[in-house]
Amino acid sequence: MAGVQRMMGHWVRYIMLSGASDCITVQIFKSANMEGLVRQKKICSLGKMSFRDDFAFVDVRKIGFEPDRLSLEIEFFSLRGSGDEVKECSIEIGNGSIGDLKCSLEFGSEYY
Amino acid sequence: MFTRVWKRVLLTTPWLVLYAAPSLSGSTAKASERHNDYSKVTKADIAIVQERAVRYVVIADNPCLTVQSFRLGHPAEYHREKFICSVGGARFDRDFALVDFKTLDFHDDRLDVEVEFIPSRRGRKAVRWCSIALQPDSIGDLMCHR
Repeated sequence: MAGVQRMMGHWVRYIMLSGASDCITVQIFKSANMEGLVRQKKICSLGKMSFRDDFAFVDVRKIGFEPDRLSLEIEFFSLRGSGDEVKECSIEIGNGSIGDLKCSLEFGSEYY
Repeated sequence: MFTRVWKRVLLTTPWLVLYAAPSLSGSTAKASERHNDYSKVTKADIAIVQERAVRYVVIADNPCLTVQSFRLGHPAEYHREKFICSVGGARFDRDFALVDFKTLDFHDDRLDVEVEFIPSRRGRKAVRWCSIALQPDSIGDLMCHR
């Protein structure tokens, strides 16, 4: 899935190619026709936890635009057992900057 | 976006999510008279409708809406592909200053599209609710409600 919206004077695009890549790509462009790439980030992990190696499956169910961030609904399937958790997450968008993925996921004793 | 039903299918049929990658990452589409520049995708999503995997793609600098369907189990080949470039007899590139596909939502038998039409001459812009019928062997035209 993919989507674009104007944020803080730039155009922000997300691309999620489930299966082909375990990453969420976020890009900032100068213009609406997807030219003038300002910043690009591939987000493939939650803190130290790799989508590919540390989860059985990571399902990005929704991505939406907020004034200063992307909001995401992600289902994390744990490697061990049959547990899964749906979490509200976000990626901060600044003036030409893209933050890390942040969720309220408890994994072991660490929070990300 | 995926519904719960879709997600279950997604988890059990890995091929289905694999096939979206080549086109969206920039390779050329199947030979046709139109060419999509997939590096300029602004909106895209996929769902299972009427026993087909159906994808829509909106591309910057391209006035048309592309709708593609694939047979389940045949991810590499388009079963149907349709470029929707007009509504009624009005062409998006000739008869409007801008046609903006604002929201697109899959349903059991159709793709609903909220479209903003900005006329090229006099007149006011209008937002219309439209839909494209989806059948196993056909992709319908864009039909809008007044």
